Amino acid sequence: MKGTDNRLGKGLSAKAKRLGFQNAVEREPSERNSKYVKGTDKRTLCSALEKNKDAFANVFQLREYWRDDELHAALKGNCVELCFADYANARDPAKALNKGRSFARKLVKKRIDYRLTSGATDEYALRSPRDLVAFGILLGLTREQSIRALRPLGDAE
Amino acid sequence: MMRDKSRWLLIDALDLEAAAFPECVDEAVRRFLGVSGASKARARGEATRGVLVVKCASGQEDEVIAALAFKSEFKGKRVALRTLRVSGTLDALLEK
Repeated sequence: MKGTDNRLGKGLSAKAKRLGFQNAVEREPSERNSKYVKGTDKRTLCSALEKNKDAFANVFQLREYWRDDELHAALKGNCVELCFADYANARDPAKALNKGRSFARKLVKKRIDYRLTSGATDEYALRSPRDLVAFGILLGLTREQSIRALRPLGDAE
Repeated sequence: MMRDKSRWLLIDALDLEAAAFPECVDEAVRRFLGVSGASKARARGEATRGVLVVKCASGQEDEVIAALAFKSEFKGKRVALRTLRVSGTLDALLEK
């Protein structure tokens, strides 16, 4: 199984490739000129998304991201990150996964593009493509949807 | 009597000794899937032919892979368990 991990910490792409990824993108949230959008303030994030179509957005830190219709409307035309590390390191992973499941269902229903990433900041947090597909299935995606969610950013379906 | 089908997973473990691997797998699966889920998954970790593998029930491999992926600590130390390959037989798993 091959695919792309679209967000990793610096210096981890070689190890990610050894775990089975065809490609891995080292991308820091603070990186300038990047279209990566993440934050805790809904208004700022929504305006960034409206301005910047084709952004790669992580909405995990927003309150009620899984049932916010206004946010879902702003996400149209952008790509959403479903990051393994966010869910694994959550205070209550069971609750986080439940919210993630509702969110993933909305993404599929509203045809919003999404990618599964490891979000690894060190070697321990690196995941293999198989792990990310199993994570997608855990979020209620089908195997095919999970595998498609490992393609590089900007790849049309 | 019909024999239950199994799946074999090849695991890449970080900072985990082979001797502690079966216990770590057992703990990960029980914690993530609970007693009922663990009984269905029938996951068993072992070190064989120089590699770490997990044998589990066919159809339950995604749950077991997720359980292993969510395991980040064992006996107070950070660990990582990553699934590299899945196969129906041990020979095929190691052949690839």
